[in-house]
Amino acid sequence: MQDLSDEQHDADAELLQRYASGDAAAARLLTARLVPRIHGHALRVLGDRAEAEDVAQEAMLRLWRQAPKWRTGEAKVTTWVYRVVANLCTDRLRRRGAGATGLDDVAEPADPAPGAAQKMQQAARVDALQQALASLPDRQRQAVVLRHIDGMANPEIAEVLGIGVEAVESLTARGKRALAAQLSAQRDALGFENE
Amino acid sequence: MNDFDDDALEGLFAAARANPPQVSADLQARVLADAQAHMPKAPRQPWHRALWQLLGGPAGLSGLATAAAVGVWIGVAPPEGLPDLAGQVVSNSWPDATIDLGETDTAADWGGYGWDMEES
Repeated sequence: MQDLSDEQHDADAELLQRYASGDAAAARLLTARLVPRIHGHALRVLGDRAEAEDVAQEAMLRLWRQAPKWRTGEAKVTTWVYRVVANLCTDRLRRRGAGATGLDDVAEPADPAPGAAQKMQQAARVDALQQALASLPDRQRQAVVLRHIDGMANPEIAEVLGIGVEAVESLTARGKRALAAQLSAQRDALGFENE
Repeated sequence: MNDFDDDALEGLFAAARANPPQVSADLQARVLADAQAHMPKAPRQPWHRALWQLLGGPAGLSGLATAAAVGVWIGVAPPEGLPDLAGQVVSNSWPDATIDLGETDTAADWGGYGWDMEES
């Protein structure tokens, strides 16, 4: 689960302030901390690698521009940047129209698994989840990804999506039910028969 | 039973968390290029602050002031045994008692530096 603690908040805000005062090393650190997360989120929501990269770049560009005006304590950097990403994703999904979510492969096992079979099963699970996510309504997909993959708490998701906490709970609950229904036929194939 | 329960779903989420998509070198380069292009310039220091730092701040300046004061003091009131060089230069006198120049004429000695040469 991703670390979204207050320590990280302070560290990101501090790095942003350092960047605003002309520290190029702070920009590299912020890029290393934030880009993998927002790129991963955009890819899971949009299902298209090129679009996810464009969204991640645009969100970071807005963060760089915001840096001189950033007020520490008003918002978490991660929440702010995720909110930008969520809005950019929503815009792109609207332009595409309903039911046109892409399905680029998300599975790229970064760590060598102990065995090839286990590695393949991991990749199959990631792919199956991505396909099932693509079938969800956009808002449900965003909420489920933020909650269960990006590891955000419901109040923060509410801030990112600009909705109430109860609406977040409803979206994630309905999203999980829809995923379960979508994936039930693949339970055995994904190696859950004995679990 | 073929239901996809919460545990199985959590297994899929765990697999997704454990295998995050890789960020391409191209994306990293694009993001860093934007950062460089939009990085605010470090504020320029006023000249007096730059000079203050060049001199080493309060410690450097106090050392410099002390050394200058000691130099002036030694010049004005030299300790016994040291020639009064400042007084000699100001009065243009060079008593034999202070420095034994033997046969050498003081004026000729000064002339050794070419200070008394007249234009012909």
